[in-house]
Amino acid sequence: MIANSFLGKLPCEIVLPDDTRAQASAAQHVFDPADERRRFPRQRTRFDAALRYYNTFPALNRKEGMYRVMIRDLSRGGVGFLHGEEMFPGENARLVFPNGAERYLQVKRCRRMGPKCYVIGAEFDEPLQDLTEGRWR
Amino acid sequence: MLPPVGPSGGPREPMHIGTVDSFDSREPLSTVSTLGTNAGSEARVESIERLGFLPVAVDTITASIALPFDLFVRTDPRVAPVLFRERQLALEAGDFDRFGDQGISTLYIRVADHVAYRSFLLDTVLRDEGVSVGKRFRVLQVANRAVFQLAFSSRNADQLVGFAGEYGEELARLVSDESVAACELLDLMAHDYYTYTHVTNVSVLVLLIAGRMGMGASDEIVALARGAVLHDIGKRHIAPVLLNQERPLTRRQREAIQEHAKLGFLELCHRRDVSWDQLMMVYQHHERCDGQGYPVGLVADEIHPWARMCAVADVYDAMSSSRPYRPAIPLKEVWEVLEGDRGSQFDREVVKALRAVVSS
Repeated sequence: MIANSFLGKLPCEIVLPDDTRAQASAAQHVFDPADERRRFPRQRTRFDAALRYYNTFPALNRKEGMYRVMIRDLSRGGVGFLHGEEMFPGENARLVFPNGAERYLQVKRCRRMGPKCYVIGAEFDEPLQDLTEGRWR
Repeated sequence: MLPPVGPSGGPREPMHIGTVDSFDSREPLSTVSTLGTNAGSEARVESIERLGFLPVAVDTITASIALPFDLFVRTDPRVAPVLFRERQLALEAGDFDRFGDQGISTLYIRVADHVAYRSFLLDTVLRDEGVSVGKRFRVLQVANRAVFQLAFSSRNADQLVGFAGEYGEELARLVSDESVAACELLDLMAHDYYTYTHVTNVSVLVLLIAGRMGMGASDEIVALARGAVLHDIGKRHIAPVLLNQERPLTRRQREAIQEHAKLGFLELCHRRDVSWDQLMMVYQHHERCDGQGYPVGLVADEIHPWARMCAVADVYDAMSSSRPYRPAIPLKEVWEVLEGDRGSQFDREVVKALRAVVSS
């Protein structure tokens, strides 16, 4: 279990767009299910989690450490979250859920919503066991 | 009628070496044009391809230099080419006179000899400073077309990356040549919108833009050219039928095509012989300065400068070339897109540089 106070102390680089429309778009943006060939249905959700870069591209010079990201949607096979930095397809990271569970993920796509607001779609290395409401928070 | 001549001087039977299955159906070998000539009807060339031959223009062959490939001639379109000069022998001045007398502008080599033909061209023409720039550029294009198509259709990216290395260097050398006027190269560009032609044009345009913008370091210029050659590598993963579809694309189809930027990036991102700058040309060449591009929707300076150059070159060439679903767009309209209201999509400095290059 990660204490909310711990998550709250992690740097969060997300800057939600100023205007309401862009904000709503960032909040609601989901990658097209058919386009992603999803094997698992996804749930809209909203909670924070910790992300640490892992096995990324050297040219990006990613900083060590953990970041707070906002989870927007979740399925057994993958996750959509907001982050303050652009991430690239093929880039890997470790996601730590508030309940303490961890998954490695690989970025599949990224869309810019604002200057420091990117929606990242990623796939887990290992499926989540269940998506019972609140299980991962 | 020209007699086919072997080393002993006697006539030879033509050699048939079968079909070439490995070529990408997107760009059938029938599109291989011969240098400085019209290769004739597509059907005729296609039948040549089936027989295992490639057409090559007479004026790409230099006299009195031993050929590293067998050379064939075809005087009757109803029959297969016949051996005219065996490898290790040379064409002499008299041969060219006879070709001229008989109106023969196209000769043939075996498909299997295309690499030897390419090396021959590069060695004999591109290294010869006495040869006009126009001819060097055309030879460079012809010499590399078949190799590109083979590499592009290969499942392994090694071939294409290797090709990009060599081709990019040759293009950079040619464009950097101080005796070459940009307008000469622009005049020589083909606009058939085959991937190879497009890749060549975009590479040349990017190099000209970079030169205009003061990018001078030769290793950087070569790296830029290599990146430009690779920029559309992701299209290998898009169904040819979609790329060449004549009717308007549906939203899903358009999205499928747009995947090529990401797929190209994924194919190359773990290679040590492709730099991050080059990767950004592959990944970001459809980004637009106003954020309306893809795959990410980056704006202005968030887009890598090499990708911004590639974007302008890409659009300029794509619009001014014919597509399966529309004819070439007049240059006036192309400039309206690049410089007009929609010009906010593109880097102003890059567009200005291209304008200066084209007007020079």
